[in-house]
Amino acid sequence: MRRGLIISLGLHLLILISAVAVFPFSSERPPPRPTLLPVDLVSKAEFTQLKAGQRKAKDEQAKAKKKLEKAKKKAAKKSKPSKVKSVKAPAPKPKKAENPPKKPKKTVKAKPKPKPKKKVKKPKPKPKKVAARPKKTTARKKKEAFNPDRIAALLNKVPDAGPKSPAAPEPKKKPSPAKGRSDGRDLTMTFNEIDALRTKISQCWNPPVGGLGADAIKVRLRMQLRPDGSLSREPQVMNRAGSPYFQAAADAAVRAVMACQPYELPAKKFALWRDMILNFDPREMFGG
Amino acid sequence: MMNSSENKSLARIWRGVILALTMAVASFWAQTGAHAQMEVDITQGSLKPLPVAIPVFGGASLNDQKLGADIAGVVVADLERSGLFKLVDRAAYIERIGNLSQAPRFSDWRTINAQALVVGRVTREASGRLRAEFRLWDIFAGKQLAGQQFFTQGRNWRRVGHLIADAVYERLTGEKGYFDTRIVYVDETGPKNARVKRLAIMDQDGRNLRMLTRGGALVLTPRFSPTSQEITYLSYEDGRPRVYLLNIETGQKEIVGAFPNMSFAPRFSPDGKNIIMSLQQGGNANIFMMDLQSRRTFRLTNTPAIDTAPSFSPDGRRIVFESDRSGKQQLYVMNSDGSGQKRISQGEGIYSTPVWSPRGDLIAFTKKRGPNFLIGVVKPDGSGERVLTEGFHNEGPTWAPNGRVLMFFRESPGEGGGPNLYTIDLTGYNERAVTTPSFGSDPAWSPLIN
Repeated sequence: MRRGLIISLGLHLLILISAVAVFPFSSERPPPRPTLLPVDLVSKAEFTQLKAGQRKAKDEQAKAKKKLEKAKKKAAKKSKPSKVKSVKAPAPKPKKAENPPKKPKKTVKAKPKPKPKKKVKKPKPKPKKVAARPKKTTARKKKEAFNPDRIAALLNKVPDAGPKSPAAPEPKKKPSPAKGRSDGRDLTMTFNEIDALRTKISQCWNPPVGGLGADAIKVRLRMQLRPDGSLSREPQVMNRAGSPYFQAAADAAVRAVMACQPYELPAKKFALWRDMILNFDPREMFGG
Repeated sequence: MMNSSENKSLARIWRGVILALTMAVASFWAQTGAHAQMEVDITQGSLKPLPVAIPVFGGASLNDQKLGADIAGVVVADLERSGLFKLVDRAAYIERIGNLSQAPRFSDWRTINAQALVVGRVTREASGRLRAEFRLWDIFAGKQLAGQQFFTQGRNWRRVGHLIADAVYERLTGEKGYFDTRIVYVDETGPKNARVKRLAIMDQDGRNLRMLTRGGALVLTPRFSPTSQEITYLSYEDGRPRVYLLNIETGQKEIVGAFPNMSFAPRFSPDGKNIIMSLQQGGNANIFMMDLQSRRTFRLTNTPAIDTAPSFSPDGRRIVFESDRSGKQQLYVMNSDGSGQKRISQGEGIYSTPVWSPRGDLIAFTKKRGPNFLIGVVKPDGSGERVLTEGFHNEGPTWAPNGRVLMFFRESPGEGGGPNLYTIDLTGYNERAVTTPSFGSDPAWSPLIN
């Protein structure tokens, strides 16, 4: 009787413990809440160029807000607070607002607006280049003597591939930001932080092209970093294949990661990016 | 006694509970830790040429050093012409390479943004034999990727350069090189209405040119055998078109047969044992295969149309050819026994001279569209047609053995105009003129020499 009771208690306890162990974990990854996100329609390249300013702005956002509020009270009626909110001003601007009482008009947050605009405009030549590519494919008469730099346009010769660009891949391909940890370090990598990293590595990555089946070769690389953004050890190729094409592709991926260091990533989020996996997949470059 | 056994079983149960608890906690931590690693997809890369540093190759004597510079020059020219590599300006080099067996100072080469480094040394041995060695270094990974020694007669120094370029190309791109190859083409001299046409052979970079025929008779459409030693061509030596088989090394020539109204020379099968050709009978032309040993011919097509310009797939199982059976010239693919004939070209225009790529993935062709002739490629199933180059008159594509580059000839307009040779890679952007002393047409690219 007593034995049966003990067994029953033991089993119930086991079920209870299992429930405690498993349910909190599964509840750690709830389906994303349908929160309303403000969306600015800017190109990926523009995001990339803005990332430095935005990151700093984030750090000083709280300070800046407080100063803004002070400034609002003293500022002239010209101030337009609605504009302040939407513009994630680059770091230098909130610093200017440190003496709001003296020059209230300058602290009027409308001023930061032109700055970011300039910054956004700078990267425009890049998207333009991209947009120019399809023209090359159609207007072949205009083709000039070979220019190695124009190789980048090669794959757009596939008529049905449609214009693709490193700066603007299909939106569905955008990976979701990394999940934050449940241990209090509730951090995530933002789209533009990931995008900046991706763009930087893309610029260093010279994949071997034109080989038979080269578009199907994927290289999975483990990258481990120090807090200063430099590699803490040589990148490790995580997958294997016997072909010389794969060897060349793997070498190219390792070269890219080594050549691109150090990486500018948010120091606060070191736990997220200290050890990551990079999937080098050239399919999109081949119009796949 | 009873009590002690109950206690024991109680202890066992508790141990089981604790074990289960430990396992549950361990699994919980393992799962939470496992998904902490971030993954980033890199789907776009730079397609700029890879920056490579190639210092002049060293040598013990002044003569060796000069030869070293010449060989390095061949390597540089080959790699740059491929469009995939760009030489880092030699004036920027910091380290002077002395000992080949020592690793270079990678930091010096990183500073000047070189991604790969090719170093070499040339030594002329007492016997007069040339020894050339090279090493290919990955600057950012800090490791040697390739290293080889070549021994040869001094006069073959250009070939040594091509072999080194092939080794570098293969290691960095993963595909076979094509620099140690030759081109046979028709050399054309004299005025437009009285051209003297001779068969010529040269290295793929236009060097080491020599004539194979004297120009007494019209020669057309040379084709390389897969063995690289023999070519077939069409010649009108006594006014009648005959197909000849010429051994390049020995100069030995034999007649395959006399074929009236033949306009293209035959092509070899991949094993070199058969040739395929089109023979005109009345107003029609059909495709035949001939066994080179028995000289027996087999008919492959039988249509009241002009079927011509056949070319084998590299596995020998299929044949691409052109036919006007639909009203205008289009491309067709059939099995090597003539069965399963299927049209693959669907675009507007007139298609001709199809050639199957040595790697099997594409078929190159000439196409007349409006006033222009273009060179294009299409997949064997007819999909993915692409134009590589277009102009006044482009014709006669021939594949490099790695299936990545095509050579063709382009006729320039006007009284003083004539055909010249060009190469273009599959990107369509890396187009280069091939320098020949006079006009050149009908190129045929050899397989790799060794």
